Amino acid sequence: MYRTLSARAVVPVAVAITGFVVICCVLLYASMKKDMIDGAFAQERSLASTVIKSAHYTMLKADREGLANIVANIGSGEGVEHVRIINSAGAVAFSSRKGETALPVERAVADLSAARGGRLFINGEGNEVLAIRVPIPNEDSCSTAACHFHQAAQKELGVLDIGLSTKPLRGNLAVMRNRMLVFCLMILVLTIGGVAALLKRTVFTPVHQLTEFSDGLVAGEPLEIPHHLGGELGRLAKNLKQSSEELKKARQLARHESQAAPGTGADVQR
Amino acid sequence: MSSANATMLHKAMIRELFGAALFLGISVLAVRNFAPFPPLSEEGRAMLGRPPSQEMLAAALIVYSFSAIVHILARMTSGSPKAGPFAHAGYLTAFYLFFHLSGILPENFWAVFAAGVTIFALETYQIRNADGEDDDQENH
Repeated sequence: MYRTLSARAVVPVAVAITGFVVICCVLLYASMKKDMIDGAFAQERSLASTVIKSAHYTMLKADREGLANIVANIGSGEGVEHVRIINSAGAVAFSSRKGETALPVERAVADLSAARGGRLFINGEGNEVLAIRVPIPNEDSCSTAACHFHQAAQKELGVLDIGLSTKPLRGNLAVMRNRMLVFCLMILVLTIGGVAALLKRTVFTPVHQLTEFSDGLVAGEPLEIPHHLGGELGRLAKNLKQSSEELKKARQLARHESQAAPGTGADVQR
Repeated sequence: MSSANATMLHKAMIRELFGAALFLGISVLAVRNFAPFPPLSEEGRAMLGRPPSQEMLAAALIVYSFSAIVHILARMTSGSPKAGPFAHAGYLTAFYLFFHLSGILPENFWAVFAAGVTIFALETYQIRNADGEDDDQENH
């Protein structure tokens, strides 16, 4: 396999191109995955901010029923795994999931790896969740409201914990991965196939014809130079034919001379 | 082929196979996220400083793979049997460690592995090819 010209020319090119394309694709995919996850976290932060703003009035009015409704409604949305409001004492004050309310956050929340900021984990139902916790700031309107007991020095009233399913993100990543795979395969087939086809047309076939032509010359067959052979290979074939004919003529001449000259050959031996 | 040349090529091939085996062994540890080893302590991390970004590591790996492939192809063209399997195993291990310490090894493992497989496959082919050229010259 390693001895043929085609293997020597095509195998290193195929290995080098395939390897490099695979390296670039894996790195590109990892980079795009990171960008998409970062984008999803940014979107989630924006959603959390919207939730806090929309719940602001009900919190100001201490409308617990209204706030519970807001949390339950947002939590029932497609792709939303959980919405929780954790109070400053560390207990779940409101949750879109039944049975979590009033529990200490350590018992209610499975993953506490990142108390603030983004986290990616598998929840109790086995779904992958992209969650963030955003602090609910204590605003002037909160600390000065007649109904409230929050001190002005208290910076945060609690934390909004919101988790979204990663299914759409995973789906998009899978589509992107498959498209990249198809694209890479097409590039590899085109590049390696193109190189192999060009080499076959311009190098391998003419060299094969030249080899057969030289074999024929050695065997003493009367051969015409293959008409496909042009350029250097054509000149080489012409030179080979010329050398072969001159050698043939020289041999014939030597034979004639040895037959014509008296006192040579058998006489000499005798 | 001269006996000295044959011995040299044989030794180069053995070194190459040892280098590839070393890389495969390290890859087995890397695919398990270096689980047999204890995690780096916080003090150790603080001493090492902030890890480079994913983009920087990816760019470094692309530049390294590209230059290594071009270098091997150039040696293949000149018919040289020289190779540096242990150096490549070292560079690739460094990439595994950088990705591991940055916490992004699972996403990037296959890129480093593909780089290693490509480099070792090309180097093995290069040595084999040099061996084949010598055989051909001897046949003529």
